[in-house]
Amino acid sequence: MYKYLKRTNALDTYLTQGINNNATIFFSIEREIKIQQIGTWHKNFNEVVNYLNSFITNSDCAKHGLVNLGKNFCIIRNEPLRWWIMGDSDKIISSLNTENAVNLDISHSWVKLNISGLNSEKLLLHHIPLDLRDKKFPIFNFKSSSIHNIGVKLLKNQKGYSLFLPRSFSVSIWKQLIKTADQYQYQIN
Amino acid sequence: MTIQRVNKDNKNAISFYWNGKLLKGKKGDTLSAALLANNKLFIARSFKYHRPRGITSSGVEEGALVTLGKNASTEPNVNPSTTELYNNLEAFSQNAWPSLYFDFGYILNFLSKFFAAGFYYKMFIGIPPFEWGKGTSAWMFFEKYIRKIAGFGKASRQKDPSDYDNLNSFIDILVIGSGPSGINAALSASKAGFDVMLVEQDFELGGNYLNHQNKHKLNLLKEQLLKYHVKLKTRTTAFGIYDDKCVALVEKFDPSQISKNKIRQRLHICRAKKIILATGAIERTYAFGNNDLPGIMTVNAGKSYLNRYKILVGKKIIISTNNDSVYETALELNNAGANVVILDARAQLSNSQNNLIKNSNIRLLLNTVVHRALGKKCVKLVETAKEKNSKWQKSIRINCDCLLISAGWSPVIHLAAPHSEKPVWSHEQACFLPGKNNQDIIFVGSAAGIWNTLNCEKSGNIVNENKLNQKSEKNSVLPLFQTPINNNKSKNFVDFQHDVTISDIKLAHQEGFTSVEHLKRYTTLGMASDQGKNGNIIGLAIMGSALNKEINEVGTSKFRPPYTPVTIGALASRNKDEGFKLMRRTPFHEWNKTKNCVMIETGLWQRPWFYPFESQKLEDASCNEVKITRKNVGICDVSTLGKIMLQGPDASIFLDNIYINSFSKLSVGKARYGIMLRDDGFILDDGTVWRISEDCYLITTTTNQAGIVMSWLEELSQVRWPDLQIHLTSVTDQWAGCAIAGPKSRKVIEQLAINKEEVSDENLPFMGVKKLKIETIECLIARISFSGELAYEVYIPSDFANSLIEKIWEEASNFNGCLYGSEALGTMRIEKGHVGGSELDGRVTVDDIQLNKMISKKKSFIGNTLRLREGLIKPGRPRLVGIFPIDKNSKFKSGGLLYTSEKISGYPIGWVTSATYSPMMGHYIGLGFIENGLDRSINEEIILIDKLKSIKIPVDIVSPQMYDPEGKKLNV
Amino acid sequence: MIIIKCPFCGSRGHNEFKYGGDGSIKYPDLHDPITDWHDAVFQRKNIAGIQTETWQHIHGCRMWLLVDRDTLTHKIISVRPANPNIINILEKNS
Repeated sequence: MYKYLKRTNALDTYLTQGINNNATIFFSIEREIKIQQIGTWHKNFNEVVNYLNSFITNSDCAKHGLVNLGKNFCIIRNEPLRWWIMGDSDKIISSLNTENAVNLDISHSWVKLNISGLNSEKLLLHHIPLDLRDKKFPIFNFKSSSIHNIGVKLLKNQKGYSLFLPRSFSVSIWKQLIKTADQYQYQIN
Repeated sequence: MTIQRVNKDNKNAISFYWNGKLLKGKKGDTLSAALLANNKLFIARSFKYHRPRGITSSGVEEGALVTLGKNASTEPNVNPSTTELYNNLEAFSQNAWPSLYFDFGYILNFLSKFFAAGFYYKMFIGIPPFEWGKGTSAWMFFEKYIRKIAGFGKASRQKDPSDYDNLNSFIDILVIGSGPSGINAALSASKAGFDVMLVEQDFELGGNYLNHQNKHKLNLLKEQLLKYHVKLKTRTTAFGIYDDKCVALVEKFDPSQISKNKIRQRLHICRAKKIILATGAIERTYAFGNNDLPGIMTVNAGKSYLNRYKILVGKKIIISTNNDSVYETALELNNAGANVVILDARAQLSNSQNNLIKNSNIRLLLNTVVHRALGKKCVKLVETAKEKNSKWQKSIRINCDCLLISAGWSPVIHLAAPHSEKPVWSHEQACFLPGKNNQDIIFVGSAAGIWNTLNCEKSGNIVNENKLNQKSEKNSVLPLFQTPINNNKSKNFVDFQHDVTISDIKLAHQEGFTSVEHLKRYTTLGMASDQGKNGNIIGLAIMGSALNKEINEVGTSKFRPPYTPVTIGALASRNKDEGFKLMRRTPFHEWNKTKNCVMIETGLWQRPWFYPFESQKLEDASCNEVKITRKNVGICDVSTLGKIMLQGPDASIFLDNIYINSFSKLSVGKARYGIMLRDDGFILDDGTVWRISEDCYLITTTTNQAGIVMSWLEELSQVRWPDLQIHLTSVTDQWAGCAIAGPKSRKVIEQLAINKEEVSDENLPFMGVKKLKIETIECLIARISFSGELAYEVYIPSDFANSLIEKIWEEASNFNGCLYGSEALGTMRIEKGHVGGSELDGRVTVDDIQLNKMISKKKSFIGNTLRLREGLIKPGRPRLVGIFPIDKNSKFKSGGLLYTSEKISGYPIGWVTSATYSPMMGHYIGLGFIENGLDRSINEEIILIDKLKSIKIPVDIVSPQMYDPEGKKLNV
Repeated sequence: MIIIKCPFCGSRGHNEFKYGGDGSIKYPDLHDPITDWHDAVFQRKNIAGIQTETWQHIHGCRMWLLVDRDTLTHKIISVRPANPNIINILEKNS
C-alpha cells in the first residue's frame, strides 16, 4: 500500500475552480503530462528524422515548430537538434537507436496550462511579444517565447493555446496572468 | 475677456474642482475648455518670472501647466488642453505661493535683469577672492531657495497607487493620427485587405475634422471604420518609434472607468510592417511684447473652442496672421457674435480669402502685425506696427479682450526623426518638412506639408497604384517670427514653459553659443515638457537673423522621444512589486510553508532559511538545527542547486576539458567533486558530477551560478567544440533535491529503500550514486556531504516531491530529526571549511583555496594556461584560512578586514568571507583569506577590523577544517 | 527593441537573447602557449562600425549565434549559427 504515492502539480493550490457564465477565457491544467526529449547530432540528423517520421503518416519531423500528430502522442522539433515527444512515447523511445540519439524524461520540468476562449489570444498578447495571428502562427504549431524574461513555450491547437511554463516559475507567472485576466471574464476548469 | 458657451443648455454637465472650488463643465470638454467656459483665463504662474499665464492652445503645444489630483495621485505638469474632463476631477495651479492671485514669486519679474540666460553659470562661480573661479559654496547656499521659487509642479513622495498594464501587437499597417489623412489612409488600407490599426491621442476620433463646424463627413467616415474592421484606439499616444520600427504607445484608460480595476494606463509595443504618420501640424505664434498675457492664443485654438466645445473665446477678437488659414475661422467667430479685426502681415490677399470676409463686418488691416500687447492679468490692448515703404513703424492701438495668433504651421515630424535624415526647411512654406526616411514610414496630410482638407484626404489613399504625389502645397506665407521693431520695454517670449525671451537668444548669440545645440542648452529653449513645439522654430529664426543665416543653415536640435510626457509608471508597467522579479519556488515550497519555514531570497529563488519553533529568532533556530543534525539527522531542501544532464558519447571528453580534475576514469555509479575555471584561470564554479551511466552524467552547480554555467557550457559545446557529440539539458526543475544528513541518516534511508541492503555502507559507499525506488517512484540517491556528516542527497521527480517528503519526514522524526534551512547549512559547511559562493567570488584561484592537489597533471582544461600567470601563483598571495576570535565571546561578520597589530590602516592583509556562530565550537568562527595563509607565524597578532559595525578584535588564524578535521563523521 | 532574426525561431526582440562576447576570436587549443591565450582572452578591438558578436537565444532554442552588427547604428547585417555543423542542417530542412 503506497500511502505517499501522489502526484501533485505546481499550480494545484492556486487554481480555484468555478463557473463563470460570462467567461471569454478558460483556464485548465493538464496533469500528469509526459514529455520525452530526444537529441541527436548533425551526422545522424537525417536518420533520426526518418525514424521519427516512421511513426506518423504525412508528417515532417524536420520542420521546425510543426506539431506532428500521432494517435496519442505528438512530435515537435523544438530546437535544431532536439525534439519533444509528448504523450505516449514508450514505443518510440524503446526502439530508439542509442548510437544515433539520446533521450531524457523531462515530464516534471514543465507545467502545461491550457488557455481557450474568445479572448485567449488577447490575454496572451499582454505578456508575450509574439505574432499570434493565424498567418504567422498556424494551428498545430509550437513556438518559444518569454514572459517577464522567463522562457516559455506556446502551442496552438484547435481549442486554443497550451502554455508551457517552467515548473519553478509557474506560480509567479500564473499570478501575473490571472492579474491581467481580471480585465476579462474568465473561468478556471 | 468675456468667454461664454455658445449653447447654454445643461446637458451632459460634469462637476470638477479648480483650486478647491467646485465648477461645472460638460462631457467631452478638455480641462482647458471647462476652465475657459468658467471664465478662468488666468490659470498659472510662469516658471522663472511668475508672470500670470493662461491657456494658449487646444493641443499638445500648450504653454500653461496644471497639477491634477492630490496626495499619492498627484500628477504635476499636466497639459490642461489635452486632459479629458471627468466627474470630480481635481486640478490645481502650480508654482504660486501663497495663492495663484497673490504670489510672492512675482517679485522675480522685477529682478528679471539678473535672471537672463546663463544666469547660474555666470553667478555662482565663487565668492571673490576666496573661491574665485572654483567655489560652489555660494551655489550650495542659494540652491535650496532657488529650488523653491523656480519650478513647475511638485511631485508626490508617496507610492503611485495605480496599476499599469502591458500589451503587444503585430499589425500590417499602423496609422498614427485620425484626422482627414489618417482616417482615409486607414480605410484605404483596410479595404485593400490589410490588417490596420488606427491610433489617436485625443479621446475622440477625427483630428482636425473635430474643429470643423460641419461634422457630417466625420460621422460617415467613423461608420466606415467600423464597417471595415479597422482596429481603433483612442486616448493612445504613439510616443516614439524605436529600433527596427518598434512603435511605443501609451494608452490611457477612460478616466470615468478607472476605479473598476485600478489600471490607469497601458504600455503598448506595436510592430507594424508600415507606419503611416498622419500626425498633422501645429500652428505657430510669433514673439512680440508681452505675448504671454492670458487671453492670447492660437487661431486654431479659437476655432477649436468654438466648433468643438461651443465656447466663444471673446467678444472683441483681434487675429494676427501671415497666412490664409485664418479667414474661415474669422468668419465663424464673427457669425458666432464676436467683433473681429484681422491684422495680416502681408501686402495683399488672394481672391478666395477676400471673398470669404467681404460681406461681413470684419475689419482687415494689411501690412500690420502686433508690436506689443498690454493688460494686467489679461490682454486689453494691442499696439500694432505697420509696414510703409519697406519700413516698419508703430501704428494704431486697438482694444480687445482676446488676441489670436497664426504665424504659420509646423508639420509634426518628430516620430520619424531617428529613422530619417535631417528635416528640410521649406522657404515657401516657412516650415520644416520631413527629411528622407525609411521607406516603411510614410508621411501623409499636413505632416507632409499638405494643408487643404480635400488634398489631405486624397493623400491618405496610400494603397493607390499611382505613386503618390506627396509634394506639399503652395501656401502664401510671409515668414514672421518676431515683431519687426525692437522691443526693449517688455518681454517677448519665445518659450512659454521655460520663460525664454528674445533677449535671451540674442544674449546666447552675443556670448558665442550660436550652434543650435548650444543655444538650446544655454537658454533652455525647448527643454520643458512641451519640448519646443511652439518655440523652437521662433528661436532658430531669431538666431538665424543674428547670424545672418537661413534657418536651414542653423539646423534643428535632435528630437528624442517621448513626443509628449509619459509617466514612469507606464514605462515600468507590470514590472513592479511582484512583477519586478518573478521568483522561483522549489517543489517542496508548499510543504515547507506548512512546517513554518521562513524563506530567503537567493537570486530568483525563494529558499528555505530556517524553521523557527514558535517565536525563535534566526540564530537560535539555526543553531538548534545544526545541533540536532549533527547529533541525529536533519532534512534540507537543496532543490535550488543547478542540475545539468550531460549525455552523449563524448560526455567524458567534455568533462575533462572543463574541470581541473579528471572524470573520464570515474566509474559508473560514482560521484566526484569538481572545480571549473574561466578562460582567465579564476574559479568559475564548483559542484559534484554523478556518473549515472556510461554516457550520462548529472552535473550540479551552485544556486547562483546555475544559469551562467549552463550558458557557458552551451557556448563551449556550440562555439568552440562543435564536433563533440554531447547534449546539455537543464534539469533543475525536473528533480526536487532533499539532503538527509547526520549520524542517523543511513537509518532513515534504509526505511525509504525497498531493501535495506541496497543502501548499506558497501552498496552505497561514500561518493556512490544509484537509482532508488521510493514508493515505486524512481529517484536518484548519492552519498555526498556538504555538512561533513554522514549524508545523502535524494533527487525526487518534482511532482512527487510534496508527497514523498511526508514519508521522509515521518521516518526522520522517528529518529528525532529536524528540518534545516540554508542558514544551518551555511554554518555547517563553514565549520568544515568547505568553500561556498562567498569564497568563490570570481577573484580566487585553485591555489588560493588550497585545492591545487586536485589539478590533473595528465590533461589540459579550460583555464589551465592563464592560471599560471605570475601574479596568480606568486608567493604571499592571500590563501584560505579559518578565523577564531581570541575572546570566545566576541562576535564578527563577513566583510571584516584583517591587519597585523603593527599596521592597522590602509590596505588589509586579509579579509573575512564567511562568518557564523558555531554551536559545535561554542563561539563565532569565520573563513577568509590572508597573505601567506597558514604559513604565517603563530605568534603574530592579527586584528579583525570592521568599521561598518565598529568591531575591532584580535583573532587566531587556524586551519579552515575547524570541526572534525579528520572527517571521521563521514563514515559512521 | 532591436530585432534579431534567429535562424531557427525567426525574428525576435533582443530581450529573448543574451549578449556573449567578441565573435571574431578564434580560441587556441587548450595546450597552446600562454601568449596565444592571453591575446585571445584579453586583447580586443574597439570597433566603430560592423563587428561580429556572439549572442545566445536564451528564451528560445538556446542556440549560440554569430551576429554582425554595426555599433554606430545598431543595424544587424547578418545572423548565423555559431556552430558550423548546424548551418547545413537548417538549410536542408527549414
